[in-house]
Amino acid sequence: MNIGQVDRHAGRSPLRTLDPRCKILAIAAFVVMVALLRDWHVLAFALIYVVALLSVSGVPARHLAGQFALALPFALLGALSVFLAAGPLPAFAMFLRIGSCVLALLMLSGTTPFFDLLKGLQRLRMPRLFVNLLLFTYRYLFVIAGEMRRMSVARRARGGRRGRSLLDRAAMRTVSFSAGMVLVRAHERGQRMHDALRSRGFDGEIRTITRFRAGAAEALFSVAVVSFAVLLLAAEWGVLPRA
Amino acid sequence: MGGAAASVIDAEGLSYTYDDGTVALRDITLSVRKGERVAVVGPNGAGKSTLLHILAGLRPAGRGTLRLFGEQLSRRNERDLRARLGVLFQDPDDQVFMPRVWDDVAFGPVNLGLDARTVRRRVRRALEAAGLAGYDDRVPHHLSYGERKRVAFAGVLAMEPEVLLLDEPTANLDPRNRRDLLKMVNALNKDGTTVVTATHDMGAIAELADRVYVLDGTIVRQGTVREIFMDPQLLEARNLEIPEITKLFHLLGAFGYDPGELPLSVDQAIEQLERTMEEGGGHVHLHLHRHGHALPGGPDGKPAAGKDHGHEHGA
Repeated sequence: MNIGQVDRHAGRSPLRTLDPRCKILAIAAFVVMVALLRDWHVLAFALIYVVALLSVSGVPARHLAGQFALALPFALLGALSVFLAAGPLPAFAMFLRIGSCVLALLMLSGTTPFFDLLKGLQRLRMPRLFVNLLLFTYRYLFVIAGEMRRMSVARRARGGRRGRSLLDRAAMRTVSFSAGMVLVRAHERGQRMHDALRSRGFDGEIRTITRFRAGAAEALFSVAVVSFAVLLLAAEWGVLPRA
Repeated sequence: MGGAAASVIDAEGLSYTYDDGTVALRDITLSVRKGERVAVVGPNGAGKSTLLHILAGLRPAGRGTLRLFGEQLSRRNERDLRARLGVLFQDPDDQVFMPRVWDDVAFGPVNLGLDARTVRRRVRRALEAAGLAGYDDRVPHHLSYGERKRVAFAGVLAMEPEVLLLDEPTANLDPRNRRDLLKMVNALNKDGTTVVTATHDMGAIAELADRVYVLDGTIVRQGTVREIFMDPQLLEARNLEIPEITKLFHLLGAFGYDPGELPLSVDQAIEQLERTMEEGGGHVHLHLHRHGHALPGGPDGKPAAGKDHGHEHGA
């Protein structure tokens, strides 16, 4: 599973120490503005710029490629639907648009420890339900994945086999029972966790004592990211002729 | 309060029924005084965990009264009372939920509303006490089971509870982690922390408790660890066993060794051997009787005559 490793290389990144709130805001602004671009020439600049930023971010290209590959089907699907409706150039623009937005977000998740990201979102007043949900999902995904793996090994140890197709009824039956077990176990674990949380004084909000401070470095980063997007928008709206 | 130490947990006639109607606990009456080490033992499914959760104020009992630190548990005071009790759950994955070790240990103290400096100090101390110095930035799901257990324990320590409630604390731990855990708990007890342990690990009981409640749906017996261990019928009936070391010394009786009081832990066994050696001029005398007990063959392979001695020389 790759999901648990989104922030694997964050420790080595020079962007790691930046205030996550600024990173979140700057990159969110960048994504919104790039989403408004239509001209594929301009979008190509956006993509090049993100790649340039990524190249100094310290996140290995291999890691980024692996993460990007997960989003690729969505980018292609988006491009395909535009292609059917409007032809090849708008489709290409759509692909560039999704690509640069995904890469910009990967820069955020790749250079920020996941927990700092959550703290940043919390400070930015994201509803605590969402933040808690993200937090618990992130932590327990691995526990549940481990449980599923052990159950699958146990099934095979007793002669269970993997289904060869969706029509393999016996195998599907077993899989659906297992899925049910995972749900039941997750529910029980949820209750035990709730007990554990309460015994440590939980009242619905996860508090931390981390203080973020935004200074010159954060300002520089925000200006670098946002001003380029503004420039691109200005270029498309004012200077360049429409494609 | 009176002459005796103050009572920290007082349960009277507690009963608990699961949602499906199964009666888990019937008429439980027990009390724990400050600084005591008490164990609740019983077979699988005896209701040990359920009882522990009720005593921790996490789950209301169906019937009966529960007093914590002399106060009746109520909606108004439950949060404050719970903060004075530290619960170590059996599965550290239930308890360790933050994506970073430092933050998980800090979770409790932050919820107590302590200021940042105090939180940092407590977390550092708890991590050190749990043998986790340098683990601040580690991610729980990359840690081993033993390490996650230590993180859970550090999280409890950081709350500086007056009472520790341990649910099967030694389950699934390797020998070193197990030894360390017992040591940490006993060190806390020396400093005045009350310890309540629910377990079926009788070897751990000898090292973790002075007084024992035997639970099997209801309290079937209570007494000192020794009283419980010396009642083979009770243990047999409740699927419990005395520690191997105690069995060994019991067996030594067949070799003419008078164990006096049977040792319940390795430490006690060493103490006793040392005492015997002092009395015996540096020796422990063992021998086999002709009509002796189970073990066949003397040191030379033949049934030994009454006067033969097998010597164990003291160090």
